[in-house]
Amino acid sequence: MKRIKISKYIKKEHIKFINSVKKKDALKEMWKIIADKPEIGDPNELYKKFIEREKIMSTGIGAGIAVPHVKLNSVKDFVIAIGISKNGIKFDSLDGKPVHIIIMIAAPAHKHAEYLKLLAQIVLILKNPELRKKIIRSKNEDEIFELLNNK
Amino acid sequence: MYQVIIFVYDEKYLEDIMTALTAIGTYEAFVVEGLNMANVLAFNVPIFAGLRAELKQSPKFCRIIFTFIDDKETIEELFEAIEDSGINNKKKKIFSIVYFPVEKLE
Repeated sequence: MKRIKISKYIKKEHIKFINSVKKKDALKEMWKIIADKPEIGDPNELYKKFIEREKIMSTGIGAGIAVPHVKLNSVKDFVIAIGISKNGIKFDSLDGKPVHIIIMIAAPAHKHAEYLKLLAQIVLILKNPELRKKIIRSKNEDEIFELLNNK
Repeated sequence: MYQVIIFVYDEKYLEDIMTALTAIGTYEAFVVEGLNMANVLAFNVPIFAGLRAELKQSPKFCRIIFTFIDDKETIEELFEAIEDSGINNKKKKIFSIVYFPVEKLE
């Protein structure tokens, strides 16, 4: 089995409904979910890198999804945060539409191959419009966790 | 090991197919721009200029991805990943994949 399951990387406590409406605020709100986790060596560097990455090109890939992601030496293992915005966030997305699902990835620098596979798998899974709708309409974090379980 | 060649006929789906390849761990590949032979004939070979009228029927876009994949199981995973991306090749011919075993790679 070459494909990876994103459920392996998802923790229920890293899933949150977020209230920000602006991109920078949303990134900060997401970053706060993971900043104090033991895998994150330098939280300030991590935040700075997320902002820098967005300057290269928005990680709002369209269809209401954003996948801010960085790879750093100071990150010891993969950490993922999932944010859901019921109202949508202005994210400079490729299709110009507001973002409702944010999947933030902090990855260790030396796990490049796994990083690429994880990114690709997340994009493939969220291509499914039905799943996206279900995630956005979820009433709580448990429902979202169940939807992504086994994916 | 298998040599895998993917022909993509619709620009809209090139990204999805490359994402599917990445999901199975294949990112060492070459993407080559192709030309539909009917187009080349119609515009470069005078005797076939009459084909120009029929070109609306034939697809103009073609990208060819060359890569190697370790085993058949992974190739099956590629098909699944492409399907997961929402591509329905039965409805409309979006891609073709050919693969064959490689005896020796140096």
